[in-house]
Amino acid sequence: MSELVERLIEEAQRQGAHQSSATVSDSISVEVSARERDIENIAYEQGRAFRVSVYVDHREGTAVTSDVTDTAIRDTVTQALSIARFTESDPCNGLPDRDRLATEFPDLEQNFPQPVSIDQLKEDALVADASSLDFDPCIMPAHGASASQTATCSVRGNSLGFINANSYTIYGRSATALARSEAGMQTDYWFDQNCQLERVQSAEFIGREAAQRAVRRLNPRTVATGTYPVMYDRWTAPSLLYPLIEAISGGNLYRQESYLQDSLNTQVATTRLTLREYPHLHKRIQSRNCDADGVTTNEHTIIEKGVVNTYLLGTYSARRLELASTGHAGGVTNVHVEADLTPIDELLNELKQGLLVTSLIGSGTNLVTGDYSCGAAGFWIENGRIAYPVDNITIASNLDLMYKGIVGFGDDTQDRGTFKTGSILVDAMTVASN
Amino acid sequence: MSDSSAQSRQNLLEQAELTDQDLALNVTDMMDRQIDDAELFIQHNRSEAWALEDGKVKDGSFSVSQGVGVRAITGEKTGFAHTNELNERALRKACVMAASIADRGGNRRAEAPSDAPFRRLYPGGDPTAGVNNDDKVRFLSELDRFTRELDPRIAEVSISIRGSSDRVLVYGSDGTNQFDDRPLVNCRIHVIVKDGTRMESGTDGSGGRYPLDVFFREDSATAKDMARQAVRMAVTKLESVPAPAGEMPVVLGPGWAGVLLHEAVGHGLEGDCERKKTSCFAGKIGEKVASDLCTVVDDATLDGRRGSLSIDDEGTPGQRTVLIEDGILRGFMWDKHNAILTGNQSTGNGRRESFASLTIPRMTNTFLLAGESDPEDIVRSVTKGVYCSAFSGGQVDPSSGRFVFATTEAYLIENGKLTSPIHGCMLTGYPWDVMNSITMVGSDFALDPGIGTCGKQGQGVPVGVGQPTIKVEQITVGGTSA
Repeated sequence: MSELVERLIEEAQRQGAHQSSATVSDSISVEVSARERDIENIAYEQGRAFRVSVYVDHREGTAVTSDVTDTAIRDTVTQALSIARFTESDPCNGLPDRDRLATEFPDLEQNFPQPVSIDQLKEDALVADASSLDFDPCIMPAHGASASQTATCSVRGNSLGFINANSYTIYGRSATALARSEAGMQTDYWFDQNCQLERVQSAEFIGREAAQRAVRRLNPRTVATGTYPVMYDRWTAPSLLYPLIEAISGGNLYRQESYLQDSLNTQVATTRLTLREYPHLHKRIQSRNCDADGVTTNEHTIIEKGVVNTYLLGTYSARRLELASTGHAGGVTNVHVEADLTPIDELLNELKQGLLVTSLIGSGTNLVTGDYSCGAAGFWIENGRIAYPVDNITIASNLDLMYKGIVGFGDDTQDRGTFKTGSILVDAMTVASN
Repeated sequence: MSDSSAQSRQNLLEQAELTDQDLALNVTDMMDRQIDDAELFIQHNRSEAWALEDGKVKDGSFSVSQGVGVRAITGEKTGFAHTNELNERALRKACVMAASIADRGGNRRAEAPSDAPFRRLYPGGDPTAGVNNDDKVRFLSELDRFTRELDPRIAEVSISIRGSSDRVLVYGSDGTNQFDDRPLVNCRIHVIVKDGTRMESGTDGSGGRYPLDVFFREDSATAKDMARQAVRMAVTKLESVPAPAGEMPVVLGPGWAGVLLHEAVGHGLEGDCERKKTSCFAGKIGEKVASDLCTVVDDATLDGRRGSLSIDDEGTPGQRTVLIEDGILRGFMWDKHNAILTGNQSTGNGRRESFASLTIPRMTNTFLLAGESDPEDIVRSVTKGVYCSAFSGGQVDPSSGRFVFATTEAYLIENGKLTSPIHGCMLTGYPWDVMNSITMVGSDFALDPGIGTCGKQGQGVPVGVGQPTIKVEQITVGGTSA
């Protein structure tokens, strides 16, 4: 595959590109799903795609194809170049400066290939489905469970001599449970994924967790519309933090699509909040040595005591803002909440009366103004204890008020995805209900 | 099949290095492995996009995606394999993998292929072919200039045009042998306005299954209208006040607001939900599920619309299906697999994002038919409530039925008149509450402008929505002003 990347770049330069970059990725995956205690689907996937970007006098053209025949390679490069001939010159276009490109690629231990065992995947899917169905009589056979494994290899290179191959595996298990009571049905799900098969939560646990989450939502009530403290549980907390990351990302800043324009070194969140990024953690799917442009990634304190310490910039957006790339083309890697953690029971006590959010639906964030409005479900908290499930409500505020109004971080930390965080308590949001 | 269509089908097979004989042979071989149904889906998608931002056309991309998806069905089980390597050897390998799902007897044979006639709803061929690249770039630059001159508060303008041609060939053991050549184009415009420290955004767009040069005709009249709309939306929002919170009457304007129907009832009426009994509408055919004023249809047969399909992704001709008639639930939307398992007929709603995805029942163009009320009377009937005219999208949990959708342009209604614009906010409700509290339906039916994409199980497909102005007596508005 490295050879293919080199061939693409050679072809681009031969046809007249001043600079070029290319990416080739190959992936193989298998997913098995079970439903009503029987196998439902087996899906095999095998795909290869390549992408080439060319620059001529700071004009850019891109072409993508899945056809890797010699003719297709030649035609694709020609297409990219013909597009570059029509686009306008932009001095910010082009490859990163040579000295910013990653040169060392220590093994981040993300590749743990195993031969595909269809029998094992079937077994996992069946066990997860069964353990969900067996959890409680009110669980109905409905959506079922699945188990999957994927192996991906991608190679990235450019005409400055940069080349990097990256292989990783992803093993996943998931279950979706439907619980029924006389008052109606509720669905919830659970999943886990990891680059190492043995570190994925067991199929039995996945099924049980999905079922338990669906059952506890049964017979929801409503609450009176008003302003209350709101706690995002540890699984929904990442979606609270994500808009902050987006609002200080280069693309949104130079397009003026962020309420955090000119926010560098200003207070945008509670002094209790520090966000630190660790791109090189071993055995983490999100980790990487270089960003999508090939620029070296580094540890960063993104938010320090509520102050924006760095924007998150790729090569192009950095040039637009007359700053240096921070190695964030393609987004962030592993972001940790570093704050004084409160034991979760104490944090619930602090909440006293309000909403514990366990599920969010719909995206109602306006990054330009910071206005936030989202569908939610969860539990009503009375005297620091769960009183009853609530559903069909919205929670609304403004991101600026929300981040500055965070009053506590729970010690119930999880790090399944990009964010390592526990529950987060926001002092006041408008909860609307019928 | 017309001559040009037959030629286009032949080209697709040649590009894939396959012959009709290869298709027949592989399907027969799969059936020999005791499969109930075997299906091949060969696809070639070519798309190009041009984008302008910061006054420059600096982004252009061209992409080709091709491959084959093989499906083998035995009872409720599906074996599926896909590959983007196209040749006889890769096809054979995918067929063997898909057929490995077979675990019990079945002695069906493949039926002789027949390409049943259907009506073509859009022209074949590459929709971008009629316009040269110079004209595309000039169009974007001129539209940018036109937009910036509309208001001094404009801080940023981004515009994109996109066109794709999607050729699909469906070949199945049930005798299916269909080919479709689907064009799809759109133009979108997004503006940011700034007044002092206040910033707002506005967007507009339109698209469908027609040639790209539609946007270039008549001095770009359609595109200029979009620019005016986007700027008007953004500038209006500069004056917006916090949205109210709580349950209240809401008037939804014509067109885009049909996304309410799409979320509130559409997803719950897709056949997989009925078969698996995961929908709050399951088993309720013939029952009253909405107010008498509501008739909802899914119609794939509209000429040139974004959600239209001459044939669906299983080769079934597109249809018009009545879902709700005068408030009574009449039907579900079916693909072949779910229909067969429940003793129903496909309604031409079997769709997939690409060869790499499994077919599931999906909507096409879904809308609420016009009623008799004067739209102005509808607004006049509200003492205190909200009027919504633009939306960014929605989501639903089909089992509880709870849905949300986000407004991007909305106003307070006070004493029968539109007053202040309000910040965008989420609306949420249960279908039976909302559908039964539709008390007025306007005469001003409109379809959306043709830029909607629906996501389900990770697959995005182009869809259309529509409705006239309607009044919902009670729905929860998720603002901040309690």
